[in-house]
Amino acid sequence: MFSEDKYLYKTNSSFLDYGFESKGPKGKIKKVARFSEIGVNIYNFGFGDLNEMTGEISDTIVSNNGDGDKVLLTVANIIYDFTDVYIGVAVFIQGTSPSRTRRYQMGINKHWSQIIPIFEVLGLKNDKWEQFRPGENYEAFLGRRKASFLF
Amino acid sequence: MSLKGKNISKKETSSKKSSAIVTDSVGNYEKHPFFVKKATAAKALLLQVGLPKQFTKKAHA
Repeated sequence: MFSEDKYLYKTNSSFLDYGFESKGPKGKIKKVARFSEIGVNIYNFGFGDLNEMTGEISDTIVSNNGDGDKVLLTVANIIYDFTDVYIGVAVFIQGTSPSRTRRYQMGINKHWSQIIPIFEVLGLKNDKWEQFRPGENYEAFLGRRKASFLF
Repeated sequence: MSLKGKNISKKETSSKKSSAIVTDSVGNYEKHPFFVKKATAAKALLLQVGLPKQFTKKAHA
């Protein structure tokens, strides 16, 4: 979907778990993502850095690897791929902190023209869902392929 | 709020291949505490605020 610079990413046969390597001044950082079913046809998107030595995953570490946009584009492609396989499902996304959530939001804003024809995106604001509007601040997001983009 | 309805499995619905490299080297994180915690928190939030109307319907036919 997003043909711009992104990392090569891998998944297993379930298409629920994904991984890729961020490469930058801080070296290689293993990123992992998992779509966890939290309701009927609703999956939570979890994402963090994997410490391969301990097996721990963290989404609070600020990696500062100078590739934030590339990581975000890779994440966007993973979500696109996931919704290609799990057709019709909704994906729930929330950052671990308001600043992380804003990071997702900035990514959506930046690529809105590519997203809007394909995905229906809602934002959570003051405990209410509304159609995502670029420039607004949200606490979480729900996205789903538009019916015309189900293959 | 009810999250009940017809579930969709990958086998029932998958018609396209992911462009990701498919390999067993990617772990199964279903029971990893990090993702379990995240999923639990997300579920709790959705139970609290509810789902938007259009998302309480079954998935697109």
